[in-house]
Amino acid sequence: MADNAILGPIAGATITADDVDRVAAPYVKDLGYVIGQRGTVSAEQAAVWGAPAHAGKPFLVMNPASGDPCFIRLVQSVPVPGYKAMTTLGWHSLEITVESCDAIPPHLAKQKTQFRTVGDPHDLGVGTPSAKPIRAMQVVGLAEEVLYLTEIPTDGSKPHLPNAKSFIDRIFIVPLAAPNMDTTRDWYISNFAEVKKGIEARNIPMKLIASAMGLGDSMRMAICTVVMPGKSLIEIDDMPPGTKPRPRSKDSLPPGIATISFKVDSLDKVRLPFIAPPRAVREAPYNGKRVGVVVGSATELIELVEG
Amino acid sequence: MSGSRLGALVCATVSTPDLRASVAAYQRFLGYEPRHEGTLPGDVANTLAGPAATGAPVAVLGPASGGTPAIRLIETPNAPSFIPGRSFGWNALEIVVQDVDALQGELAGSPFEVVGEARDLDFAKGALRAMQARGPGGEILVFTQINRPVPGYDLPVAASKVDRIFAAIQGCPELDRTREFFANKFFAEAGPEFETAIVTVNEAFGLDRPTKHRITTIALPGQGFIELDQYPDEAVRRQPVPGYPMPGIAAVAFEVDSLDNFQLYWLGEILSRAEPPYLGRRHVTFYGGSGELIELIERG
Repeated sequence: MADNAILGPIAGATITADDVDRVAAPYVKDLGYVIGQRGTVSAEQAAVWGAPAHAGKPFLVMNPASGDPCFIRLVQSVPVPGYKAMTTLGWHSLEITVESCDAIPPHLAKQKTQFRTVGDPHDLGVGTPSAKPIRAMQVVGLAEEVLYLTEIPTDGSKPHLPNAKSFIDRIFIVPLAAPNMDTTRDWYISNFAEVKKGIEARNIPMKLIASAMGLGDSMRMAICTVVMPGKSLIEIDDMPPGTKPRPRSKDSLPPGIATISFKVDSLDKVRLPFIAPPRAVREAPYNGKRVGVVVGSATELIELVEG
Repeated sequence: MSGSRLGALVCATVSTPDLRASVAAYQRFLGYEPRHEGTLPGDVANTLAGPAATGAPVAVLGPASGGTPAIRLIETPNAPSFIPGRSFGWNALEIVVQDVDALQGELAGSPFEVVGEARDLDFAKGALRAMQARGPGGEILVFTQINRPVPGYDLPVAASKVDRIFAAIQGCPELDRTREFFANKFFAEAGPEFETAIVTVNEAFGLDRPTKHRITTIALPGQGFIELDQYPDEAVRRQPVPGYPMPGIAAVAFEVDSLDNFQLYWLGEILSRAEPPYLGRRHVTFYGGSGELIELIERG
């Protein structure tokens, strides 16, 4: 097997929004994110996406208060009527490492946040005397992006997961709605180097997805993760049969979480076809780095950033 | 249920640096007839991942026997890094002919460079005799004379000297994964897998002529096939001239009952162009399991 490109860590996420400032505001006010750059999407960036409708449209790039380079980019787009998170294939959520999950609800309440809480703080799994459980809650943003706000215990029991360095820190897991979890996991492992199997759980409840899709609480599904360098993971959710690709506006990126950006050591080692030939993108967050976009097996857009 | 069964081969799209020369070669040496000439609309160029080819000269040709599949030629600049047969994706089209030895003689000195002389195919026990040639755009054409039926394969009979395409052949980075892709998305089950020497692959990679490779086929309605070839590790991703469709065989089109309910990411919008090969039917493109560009045309 020829050398594949090394995928990871997660470089950032791109969310499409009808008004980038309106969608960014609660990130800044309530999550402590800092807007670093703003501008208009270059023709080069739009071409790399295969989405010429975005050329010349406003974008902004935010980073967590910790200063971590993992970004959230908002790009202006024509909204897709009726789009609802977690009902279609593709990237549906961003899992973000936080210092204290339980401190978030009162903080959001005090801030009169526009994030909508869809999952109160709860333990993921069961702790032990020497290892506290992971604790998480979920909110939905104004662009129908779901954020998992997850506290990783600082007792050293989860060395493969990042602890937060600010109240709300960086993305470390990107959940993906897939038509076939096994196929998608194999796809990442086959196409990229240093992607390894993580956890796997079958026949478990996923209340947020069941609720979003109008399925009963008895719905069960399978999930797994793949692990990449830099304490970054992809969670792959095995969606109910018949889950459709995300509709999108003409010549545009998908609504909600449109793409996830990953670092790769070399675009030349990628054996998948790019939507358009990779090219250097001059504006933030790439600042001249070469970027190419491939389509994953779950219809997700994967933005690969060299170096 | 997601997806729809893959239907008949409709058209193969081939990039060529000189459309007029290619059209002339297909007419003169293969007896193909023009069905349409024009320029590439921008929305179709987008679906072919080649927006820079908007307005490029286009010709659609078909065999003298009539019918489909057609070949659509699009004028695109030469891609310097393109070496036919060394990259993943669509690499060859197999065409049924009446007399492969006679055709070999007629192609001498033509723009179709013979790279594999006529010979009986080892797995077909004298039923199939084939030669391979490289067309003016770097497309590999396999001309096959079918002497008698081959058990398990529904093969066409040549009604003209050089008749229709009956197989689209792709190089796979991982044959198993591509086979699974067609099964998952199109309920298309592959036939038996076997190993055979592939002349054009061995020539392209500088391998000994008898070197064998894994291949399998997927039968389509209308006496058509997709052939999946496991390519050597040295194979690479095909690189287009930036903004233009892939060099060589850029895309292959298939009929489907419906474009609805696929779990696929479409490149560009669903269109319904009037000109061949679409004829007003809805059509769209996506990347397949080997990185090949596939067009789907909804049955009218």
